[in-house]
Amino acid sequence: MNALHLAQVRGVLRLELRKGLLGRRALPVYLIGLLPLVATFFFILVSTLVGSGPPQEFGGAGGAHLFFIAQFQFILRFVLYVGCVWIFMNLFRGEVIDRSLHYYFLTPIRREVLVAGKYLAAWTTASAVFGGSTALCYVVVHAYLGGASSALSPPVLAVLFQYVGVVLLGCLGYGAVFLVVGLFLRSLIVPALVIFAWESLNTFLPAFLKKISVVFYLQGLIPLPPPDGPVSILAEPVSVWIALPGILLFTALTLVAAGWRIRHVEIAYGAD
Amino acid sequence: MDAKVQHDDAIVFDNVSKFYGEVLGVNRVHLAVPPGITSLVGPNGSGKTTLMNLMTGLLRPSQGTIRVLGVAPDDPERLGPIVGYCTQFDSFPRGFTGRELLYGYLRVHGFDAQAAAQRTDLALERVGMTEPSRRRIAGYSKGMRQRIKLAQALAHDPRVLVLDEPLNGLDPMARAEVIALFRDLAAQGRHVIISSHILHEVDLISDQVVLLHEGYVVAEGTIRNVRSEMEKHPLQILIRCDRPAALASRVFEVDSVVEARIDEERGGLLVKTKDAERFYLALNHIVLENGVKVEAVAPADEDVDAVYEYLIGGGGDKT
Repeated sequence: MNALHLAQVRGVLRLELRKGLLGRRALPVYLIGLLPLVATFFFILVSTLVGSGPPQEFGGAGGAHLFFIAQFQFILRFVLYVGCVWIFMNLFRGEVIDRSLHYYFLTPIRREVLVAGKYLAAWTTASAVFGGSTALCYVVVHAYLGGASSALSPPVLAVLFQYVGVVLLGCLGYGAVFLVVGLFLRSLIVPALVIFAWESLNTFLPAFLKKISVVFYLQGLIPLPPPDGPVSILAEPVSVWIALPGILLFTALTLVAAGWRIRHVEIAYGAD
Repeated sequence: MDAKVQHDDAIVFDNVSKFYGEVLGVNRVHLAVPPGITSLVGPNGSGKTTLMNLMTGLLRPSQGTIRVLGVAPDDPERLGPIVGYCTQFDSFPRGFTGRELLYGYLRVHGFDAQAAAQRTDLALERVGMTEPSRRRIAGYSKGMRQRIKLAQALAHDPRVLVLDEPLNGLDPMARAEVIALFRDLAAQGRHVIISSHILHEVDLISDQVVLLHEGYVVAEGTIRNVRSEMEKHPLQILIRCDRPAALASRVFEVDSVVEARIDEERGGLLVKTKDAERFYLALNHIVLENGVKVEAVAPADEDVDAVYEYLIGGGGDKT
């Protein structure tokens, strides 16, 4: 990548961040990002109205961790998934629907560089919204269950950074998958549901198939493993040294496929 | 059109075909388009937009090769700087003002902030959109959207301008301004490729035409050359004068004249001739000898409309 490519990526980033954060398609992203917060405040409201405070089993900092472990599964397996479907599948597909993709194709930008710029912008958007949402939830849960001072203590914040890191990696992996799906397929709902089922059933798959999923690697990076119980069967820890390179390699390969595909895309809006 | 053209200074189609599945877009196109204003003429579905999309890299040919000033259209890094395309798609990225759109895309071209801002201002000024450019495109009229698309095609100062129905939606004043702009660009030695189905407009502005019908190029060149090669259809010349009957009795002395009749509606004599040059020479003598006062002499069917009608419509008289 040379200086021109970098300048072009910055140009694409400017346009795409504007669209991703302020455009019409940004509203569903914010609504999805708010879901964990709404769930958290609902939990606080119910426990305040029904009982006289936090339930005993979730008391203190340990309880907060326990609560957030379950909360994070919701973020990882639903919020992040649905949010990334919306953001990344619409990266190119949305432009075809809006009939505006030709504006990029008429600029002197290599198509692979365009993919890189758009992907980076979408990843930044997803990371900001879902990473921010995760961090806010985490702080609110710890403030409510463990006290305000506990929420901002260094050990608690260290774990928070790890959770946010997992979210950012999740956006990286899911983003690449949905970007490439949006480039190959016209209908997005069916593939989104199929991938959702695949990711959800990951725990029950044979070992070699488990590795062909994003959630497999993400579970290995979660800072605190789930305790015994219904959530525990979902998590099957894998070494960080496998998980991190695994997700990066998976992302890289998927982006290579996207780069190959975009070179063959033609503008024929009428056919869509 | 192609005989004298250097291929590095032309847009060259070499045996190009494009199929959409089983539907024909264009078939076996051989063209070499020189600098100047070239109009692609034909009804809807004749292949005009397909040719334009092919030369700008938005479509890939099913067979054959295309070179735009020596550059392959599938090489965006080399093609993008030399080609500007005002598409027929009346759509824009959502939420942008005209200025933001131009500036944003110039940044994607690789221009720095200052250069992009200067070029944005210049392009907006050229199409008369400086004042409304800070408003959102969604609120623009059709004419304004057309002009902002033109600005976008012009902004990076390309050597080749491809304009799909560029006069659509423009009021007469704006049309005149835009046509003057095209002439100015062509005079600078640029290629200006225009598609239109409004034939009299094409006549006014084109240096050469490419006539298309159902995906095939049926004729190309200057209107006069194309017309003169149609031996099956003698050229019609209208002579507006004070005594058309007197003139009619003498014009048959010229060998090439095959028909002459008085056109009362247009107040003159309509002559069909197989050799216009010889007829014009002979006409001078006839007029002088008979003392006929001639108001005007002009070809009556040497326009795109007539040529297209002869080629495609079965050759009906244009009288």
